[in-house]
Amino acid sequence: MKGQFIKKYSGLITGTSFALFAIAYLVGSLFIRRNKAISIGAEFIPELYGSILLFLAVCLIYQGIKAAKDFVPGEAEAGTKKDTKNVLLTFALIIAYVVLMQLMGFVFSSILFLVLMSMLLTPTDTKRNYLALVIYSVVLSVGTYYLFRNVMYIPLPVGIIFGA
Amino acid sequence: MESLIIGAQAILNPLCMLMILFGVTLGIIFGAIPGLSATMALALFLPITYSMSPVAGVVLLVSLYIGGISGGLISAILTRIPGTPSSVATCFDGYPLTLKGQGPKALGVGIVYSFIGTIMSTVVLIFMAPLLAKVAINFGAYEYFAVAVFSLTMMAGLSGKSLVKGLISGFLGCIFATVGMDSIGSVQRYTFGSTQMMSGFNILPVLIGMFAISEILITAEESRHAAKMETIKVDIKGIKGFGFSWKEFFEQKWNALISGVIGIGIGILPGIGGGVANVLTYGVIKNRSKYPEKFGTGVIDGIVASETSNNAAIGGALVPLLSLGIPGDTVTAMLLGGLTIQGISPGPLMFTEHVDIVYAIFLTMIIGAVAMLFIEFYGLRVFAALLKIPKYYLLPGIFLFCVIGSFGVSNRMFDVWTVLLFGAMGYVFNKLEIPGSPFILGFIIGPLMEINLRRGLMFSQGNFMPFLTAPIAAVFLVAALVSIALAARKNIRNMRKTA
Repeated sequence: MKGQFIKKYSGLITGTSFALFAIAYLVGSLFIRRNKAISIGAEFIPELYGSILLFLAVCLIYQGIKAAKDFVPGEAEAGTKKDTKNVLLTFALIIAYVVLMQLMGFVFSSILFLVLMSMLLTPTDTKRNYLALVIYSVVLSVGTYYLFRNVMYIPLPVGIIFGA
Repeated sequence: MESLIIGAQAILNPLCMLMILFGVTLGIIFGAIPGLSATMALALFLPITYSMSPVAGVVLLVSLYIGGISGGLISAILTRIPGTPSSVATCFDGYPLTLKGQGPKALGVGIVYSFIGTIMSTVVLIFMAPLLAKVAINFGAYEYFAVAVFSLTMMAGLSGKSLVKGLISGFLGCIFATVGMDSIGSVQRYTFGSTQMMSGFNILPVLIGMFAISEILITAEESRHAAKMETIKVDIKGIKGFGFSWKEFFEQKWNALISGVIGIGIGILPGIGGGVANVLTYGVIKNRSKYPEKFGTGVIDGIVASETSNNAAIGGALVPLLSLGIPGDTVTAMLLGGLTIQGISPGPLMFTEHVDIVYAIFLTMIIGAVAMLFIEFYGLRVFAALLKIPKYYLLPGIFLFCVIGSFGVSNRMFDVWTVLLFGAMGYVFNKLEIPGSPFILGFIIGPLMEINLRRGLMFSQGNFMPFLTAPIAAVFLVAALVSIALAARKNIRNMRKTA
């Protein structure tokens, strides 16, 4: 089973990803401008952090290998069902929201986002009340927009389409 | 005394009093609703403080903090679901009491001891923070570096099950803080040629992403199949005082004192706060009790332990924030971000440059505690009703405020993208069981560590010895080493046990 595989090698996979990140970070530190006049330059600390992270990642890999050896395939976890698809949808929606905000401005993108996001989060056994949802979304978006623009002086984006 | 008057002048006005009432009430609501926490309450209200005066802003944030930590007891006692991690142990005895029909008593005890915990820790804060600041003001680069290293190792060791994961989280925080121009030579690092990245990631979007956005994603995972919450109706009508007798109050005095001291101590330690304090204190009080077998069946001792300690951790966590500029937990990290936006950098200099703000915080803690005592008890029915607000309305709305909050930091979309990046990261961390709070501490302490290490090495012309021969620095570095060794030993033992 795929879930079991990931569970078995989780330490190993995590460790390897962190190790790769640390190496990338260390390679990145080579591009920091050096200054001969200073013995301890700007590149020193990144090199230090990168090396420490690499060492820690290796520790994690070691623990991961050990854990994989001792791994006993257990039963699938009971209890609340995890909905990975919903998380991905939520995240995609959040990204779309931020992109849209630059195009359509804060108010319109927020209304859309609030409606869709609430629908995504509504439990499957609850009946959706669309009217309440739309009213809530419109009032909250418009309300915060005016509150922050006129009272708090935070100029929320108006967007390329409507901005003039 | 003079400083106290300055502080009083700053906050004794209708606006600040209103802020306290508003903050405490909202804090309680955030604390009471499971899935919303004190950290989120602060994230939500940060953008509102941007245009306020520093004093009013700080008053609001501290009030939210006090209410948020205490509010969790309402849902813990009424539904057995802790409203925040700070009230996990409150469920153990609070819910059984409710089942026995003694709900009002459980709530009353919880609220009164939340109050006592807050006051105890405020007293310690008022005496300790200025003293510590006086010592810290003489700290040079060597000492600051050592304190920073100590905080980081301490936190990495304490915050999670695995020391390695805690340390990875901490150092990743340090690594993300190196993005941008370096603090000594203004050399660009990891900016990939982008001007937006030259100033690095701002702490607030990082915090909001890590703790608010990731929380929303975690809820998204479960919300479609979540079980409905049942609240037990509790009527406080006809209850005298706070629902328990003076005799019971005096019986708890030692429990309360010990819980308070443990809470304050845990609060002072960098990176851990009420979430750890309540469970740990519950264990301690249970062990020293004459009737440990009764714990978990509904004795008020358990509630006293949990609620005194979690609120005592607030004052504790503010000690290192105010005197050293190092946050004691995630909420104080948020507070640090809020203060920085106002152009105030917490640390020993605050006690000379911004006395008004320091004492405004002290007084807010006291007034806020009193406000909490009454608002929470007499508003119980309203708060219990609010537990029923569906989360699918709340969370998207909170997200909206998170976006505004991060956008408002410097009016640019880059910070909004930062929030998303760190939100995704927080979610992945959660999946991998990597604690998030060392990351935040690393992010704040990393630059402190770097600047002081490099400054120190400049003084000593590249010699590392002064870091070990300066007495205070040496003590902290040795302490850091010891804390790592202890945590490693505990980890190895745990691994053997499970193997």
